Amino acid sequence: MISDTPTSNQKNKNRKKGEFIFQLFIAGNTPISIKAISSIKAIFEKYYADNYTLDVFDIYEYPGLATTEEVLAVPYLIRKKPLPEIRMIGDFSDREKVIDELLILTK
Amino acid sequence: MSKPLPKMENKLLKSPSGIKGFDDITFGGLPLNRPTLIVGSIGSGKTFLSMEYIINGIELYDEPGVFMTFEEKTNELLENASSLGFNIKKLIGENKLYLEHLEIGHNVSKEAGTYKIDGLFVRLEQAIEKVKAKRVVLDSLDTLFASLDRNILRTEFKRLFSWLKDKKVTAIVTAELGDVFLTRMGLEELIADCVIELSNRVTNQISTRRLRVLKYRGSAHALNEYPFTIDENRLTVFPLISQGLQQPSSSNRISTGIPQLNEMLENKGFYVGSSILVSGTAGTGKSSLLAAFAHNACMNDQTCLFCAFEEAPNQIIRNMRSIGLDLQPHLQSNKIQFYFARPTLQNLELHFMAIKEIIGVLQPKVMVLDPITNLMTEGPNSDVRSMLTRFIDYLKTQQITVMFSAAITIGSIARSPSDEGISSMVDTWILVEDIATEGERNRGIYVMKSRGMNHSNEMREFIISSNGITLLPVTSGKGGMQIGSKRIGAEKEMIQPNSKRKQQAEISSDSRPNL
Repeated sequence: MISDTPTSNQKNKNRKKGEFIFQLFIAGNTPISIKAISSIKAIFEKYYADNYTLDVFDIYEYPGLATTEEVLAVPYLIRKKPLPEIRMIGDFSDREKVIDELLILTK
Repeated sequence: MSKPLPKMENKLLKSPSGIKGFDDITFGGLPLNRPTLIVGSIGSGKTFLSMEYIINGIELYDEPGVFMTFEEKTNELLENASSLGFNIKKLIGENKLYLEHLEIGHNVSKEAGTYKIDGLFVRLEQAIEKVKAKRVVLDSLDTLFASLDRNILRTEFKRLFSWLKDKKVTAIVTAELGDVFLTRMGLEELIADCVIELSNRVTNQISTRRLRVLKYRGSAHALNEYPFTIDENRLTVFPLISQGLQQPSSSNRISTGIPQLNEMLENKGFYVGSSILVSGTAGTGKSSLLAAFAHNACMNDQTCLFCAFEEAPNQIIRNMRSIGLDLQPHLQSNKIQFYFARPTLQNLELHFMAIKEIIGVLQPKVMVLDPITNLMTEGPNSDVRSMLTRFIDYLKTQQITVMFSAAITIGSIARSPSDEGISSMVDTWILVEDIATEGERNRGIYVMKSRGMNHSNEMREFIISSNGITLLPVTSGKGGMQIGSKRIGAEKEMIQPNSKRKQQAEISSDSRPNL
C-alpha cells in the first residue's frame, strides 16, 4: 500500500527527549495548524516541561503517514508513549478537555 | 483560489453506470466529474449500486475506481462483493481498483476545538493517484464522521465536494436516510447536482427495492420510482418506460380458440399483439378459456408461454385434459412453456423479469397469465397496475398476444373502482358470469369491450364439457333469453328435427353433473 515515512526529524525542531512522546498531524500552514501547535505546546510545557517529545507532521508533506496512522480529521494528536495510545482530534483550544483526555493530574 | 469558470457545455456530460435500466432513467448515467448523492435506509442497496458503478467503470469503460468504505471492513467488503459475483481481488491486483476501509477509531477523542478533514483529502488523493481513478465512491460518508460536530462537518463536506469536482472524478457519496433532513446531515443541500433515493419497502411481507432520481441538475431524468432488483450478480432497474409510443398495431387476427367466441369478435378473433382480460368470479371458467386459447395457438404451431400463479403445470394439464384440451403434446414439442411460481415467492418485479427473460429465449407469440389477481395480493393495487401496464406495453412491442384472467366483476368494480383500471388498460375484456336461476347455476359470457372491432353485444351461455368449451346460440323464449334447463325446455318445445341444437342440448345436459 501507500507508504512514506519521514526519514529523520528534519522538520521537528521542537524535539526534546523524554518519556512522553507525541505526534501531531496538521494540514498545511493554516491558522488552525498554528493554533493547534501553540496550544498543545503550551500545555506540554506547563505539565511535562522537558520531559516530552512532539513531532509535528504536515500530512500534505507526508501523505503516507496519514494512511498508516489513520488520520482523517486534523489537527490529530497521537500519544505514542506511554502506552496506551491516546488519539485526539481538534485544535486543542478546549484546554480542559485536552488535560482531561491526556490524564494529566493537575493536583 | 478563484479559478476561471469552465467553458459552458451545451450538454451535460454523463458517466454511464452500465447498470441495466439505470442509464435509461438518468438518460445516460451520473453527471460526469460531479458528486452524486445516493440516500437510502439500511439494506436498500446503496453499497451494491456504488460497487457496481465502480466495477462497471473498470470492466466496461476502462475507468479505474476508488472505493472508500466507512462501514464495512475491507475484508468483509471483499467477501460480500465476491459473494455477489464481483471479482474485486483481481481488479485490485491489476491496480484498477483501490479499496480502503476508513474509520475514526473508537478510542479517538473527538474534538478539542475545531478541526478540518484534510486527512480524508490526503488519503483520497493518494488513492486516486495510485489507480488514476475516474470514479470514486465514499460509502457512507455520514457514518464516518457521525460523532463529530455537525456544523463544522457541513462546511468540511462542502469543501470535500468541490475538491472532488476539482479532481475531475465522478463521485458517489452514500448516506443514510435521516429523520428531519433527507440525510442525517442534510448532505442533499450540499450535493446539488444529482440525488438518488433508494428504498426497500415491505408490503404484505414482500420487500421491493425502489429507486428514484430526486434531482438531477441540468439534465432530464425519469421522474417515477422504479423497482430494481439485485440478483446473484447484477443490479437491474426495471424501467419499462416510454415504450408505449412505439408499439406497433397489427391488424392481423388470432383465433380465440373457441369458434363461437370468434363469431362474437367479427368472426375473426383478437388482434395480434393485443391484451385480453378474462374476468369473472370463481369457477366461471376463466382458466378454461385461457387454456383453450393457448391450446389453439399451439395447434397452429405458435409458441405459447403459460404463466401459472395458481395451479402447478401438471395440475393444469390434468384439468384441461378433462375438458378435451390436451396440452401435454405441446409441452413435449416445446410449443408451450410453463412459468409456475407462487406470487408470494418473490416480488412482482422479479416475476416479470423472470418472465421477460423466458420471453427473450422462447420468443412466444402468445402468452397467458392465470390469474393476475393472485399477483395483486402481493402489493397495493396501484403498484401492480402500473407494473402491469408497463408489462403489457412491453408485450405489445414484442407483438405478443396476452390473455390474462382476473377475478373482477362489474360488482367488484362498483365496490373497488380501482379494479376498473385493469380493465381500461386491456384491449379486449371478456366477462364470464355465474347466472343463478331457479336452482341452478349457468355460465354466461359477454364481450364487454373490444377495441377496434365491432364485437357482439350478446350475452351467450357457454358450457364446458369433455369436448371443450362451447358457446350456445342465443335461445329466446318467453320473457327473453333462456338459459340452462329453461333453454333445454325451450329447445324441446321447438321442432324436434333440429339436430344441431339437439346435439348441443345433449352436450349441455351431459355436462350438467360436472357442474
